[in-house]
Amino acid sequence: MMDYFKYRFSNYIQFNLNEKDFTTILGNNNDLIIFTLLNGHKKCNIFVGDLELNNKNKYEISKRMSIVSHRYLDIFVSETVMDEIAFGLESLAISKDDIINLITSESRLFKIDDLLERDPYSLGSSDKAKMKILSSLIIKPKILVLDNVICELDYKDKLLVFDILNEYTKNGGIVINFTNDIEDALFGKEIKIINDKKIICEGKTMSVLNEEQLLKRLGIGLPFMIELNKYLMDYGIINKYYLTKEKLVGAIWK
Amino acid sequence: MEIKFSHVNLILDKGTPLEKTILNDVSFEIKEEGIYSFIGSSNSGKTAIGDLIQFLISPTDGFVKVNKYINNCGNQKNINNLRTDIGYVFKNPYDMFLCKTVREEIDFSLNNCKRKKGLISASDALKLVELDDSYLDLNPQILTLSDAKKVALACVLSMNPSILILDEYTCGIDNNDKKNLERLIRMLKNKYKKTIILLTKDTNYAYQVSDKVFIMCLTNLVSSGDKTLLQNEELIKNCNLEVPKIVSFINECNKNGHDIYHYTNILDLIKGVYRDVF
Amino acid sequence: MYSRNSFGSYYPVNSLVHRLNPIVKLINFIIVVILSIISNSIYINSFILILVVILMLLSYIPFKYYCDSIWSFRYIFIIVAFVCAYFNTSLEVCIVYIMKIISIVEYLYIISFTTSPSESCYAIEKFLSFFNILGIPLSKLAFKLNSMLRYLPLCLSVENKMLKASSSRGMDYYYANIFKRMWIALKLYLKKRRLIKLKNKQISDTYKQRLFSLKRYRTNYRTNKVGFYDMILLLFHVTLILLYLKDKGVI
Repeated sequence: MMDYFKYRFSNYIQFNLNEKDFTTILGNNNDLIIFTLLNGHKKCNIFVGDLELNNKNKYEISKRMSIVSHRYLDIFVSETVMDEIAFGLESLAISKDDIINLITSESRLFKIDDLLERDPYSLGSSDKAKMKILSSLIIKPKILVLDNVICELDYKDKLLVFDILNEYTKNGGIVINFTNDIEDALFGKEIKIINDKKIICEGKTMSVLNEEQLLKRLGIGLPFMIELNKYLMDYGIINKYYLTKEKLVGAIWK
Repeated sequence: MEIKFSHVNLILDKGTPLEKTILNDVSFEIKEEGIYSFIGSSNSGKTAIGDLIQFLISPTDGFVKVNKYINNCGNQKNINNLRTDIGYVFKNPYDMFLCKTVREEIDFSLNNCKRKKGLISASDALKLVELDDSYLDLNPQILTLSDAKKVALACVLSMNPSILILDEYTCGIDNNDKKNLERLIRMLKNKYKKTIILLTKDTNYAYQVSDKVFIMCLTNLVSSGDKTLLQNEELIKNCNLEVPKIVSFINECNKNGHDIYHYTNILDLIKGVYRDVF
Repeated sequence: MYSRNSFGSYYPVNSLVHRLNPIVKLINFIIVVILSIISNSIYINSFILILVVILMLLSYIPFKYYCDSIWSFRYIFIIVAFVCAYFNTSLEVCIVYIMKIISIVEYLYIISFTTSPSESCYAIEKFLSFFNILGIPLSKLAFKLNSMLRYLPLCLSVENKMLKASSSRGMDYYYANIFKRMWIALKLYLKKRRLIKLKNKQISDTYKQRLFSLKRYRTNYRTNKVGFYDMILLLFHVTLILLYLKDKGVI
């Protein structure tokens, strides 16, 4: 299978992504990558499908790759929530009835269907973030990029959004989640760690979280459950990973 | 430094079709130094509490008293003396930045202080938040999110305030910075006797760090007490918050009959589990 | 500080005037402006003023926002009175001039309170499409008008944020008297221009990210039908034209 998304920043950072991937990217150079994805850079080669990102085909690239960023969380293009969500669909010239049906069904999934006639400035931060993610997902892109947006959500909304994103990747989408919080990495399938313009570690979630020394040296730390499991394994009480608390308690006191 | 809220109501655009209640009959009192946390999900009025303490908005009913100043829609004199004594870091740090470089930004706060003793210079303030001098010439609007939060905290700390209010500081920073922040606010409380107020929805961090906890749900102050309040799982789930992970693990152990004390630190918890197993 | 600054910005309430078709509102506004400029009779102008007051009552916007607008024009009324007294014109002409100013200004406020910028963009585009025969670059002109419409609320929101930030750091604005406020506005002027430029760039980036393009066709999902009340109000405005023509003696 050919790789769908290829990223290369001169000789420093290079990675490829395939369909049905859900990647979490940690580290202190997230801003650099997001800037090149938004605007393009002369040293940077980005391939989305078979198109290369340059000044002329930004419209086509934006149809395939949607970016939700924390800097633009307070910038709205319309006066009501429903207009805001429908803006992208109107630009794609989708017919009127389809727009209304799509918005009512998807907003029920995200649980913002009672907020559709309100002013976007008066929403709380959790609802704002949900609205922005919905308005990027509704145009059905191939790639969804989230830049430090998950930390604004409440806990229940976070679980809901991750369920929806898992469903989206099963249907063939790619999700890239830039974050600084290690607890969110448990929801994805792969992790990449970038420090000082180099990829230091990448791979499946559980195998990267095994590298305790590296994560502690970079200051990222471990999620609570993983750290608990590691300490118990050092003391010899358990001998493999248990990720839910019921199984862990059952395994400690056999 | 005394903060007292007495039956405070905050209603916007009262009497018009766009009326919205932000706070409903909130009363509490803070008398001594310490680390206080206000915990609540989004839309529960936490930012309004910070704005009321710094007199950026007046309540519709009731009053707010900070040291000798009373906030109830009247005219205030010499309010700048109070405002430079309270340091308030906004939720979105890019909203706080006005100048072209970080050096000018920190000097802006310093020039507005009328009292000249006890102020901290720009590079010392940056050292307190673990940034080096190379940040002094950068444009603050292009910094990354965690760097911008640190620079905003440095701007506020350079005025040497006695009350420090941090609005959603822990969302979007990594573990190393969280530990540095914990060390910093413990030092400010123990050595310099300052009052620190955290407005957050991160119950894990509040459980680790705070002395006293106030829980807010929609627009009401539901309950207040010390840390043991966060061990009440039902109350926290009703307020749409996440139960701290340590607490839920220990409650699961206790439910299955193994008595473990409610530790706050993971290392103590491991030793307690070890002792119970063997 | 928190509450919406209602100088010309949209006030989201569900009233009769909000639900009218924006193209019809624009046509009505142009008729009223042209009529009140060219007619000097006291009857036509008082009819126009009564129509404006009825529209103000039908939109459920608190009256004090309209009164604030008239209060800010009080110096202009005094100047008009002085000029009329200087040229020795009668009291009736002076009152007619003041009524003209009030009705035009208040109608403009009604339109801006009850029409959201996206609706008025749509109305301006459709209205200017009548002039497509003349060959003017139409979509660019419409786009420039739209960004002018959104410029004023953008300036106000940036200014509000800056004043909050500077008050929080010791340069107080809310409790200061008028001279200190002017001094602060002067000091922050250059910074405000820089921040407005930055915000404009962010907004245009967002538009491009959301697939906005001038050259391609856009649908509009809101059903902007012309309903019963649109027809009634249009009828009122057309009768005003007929009254004017009868007054002049054409009919």
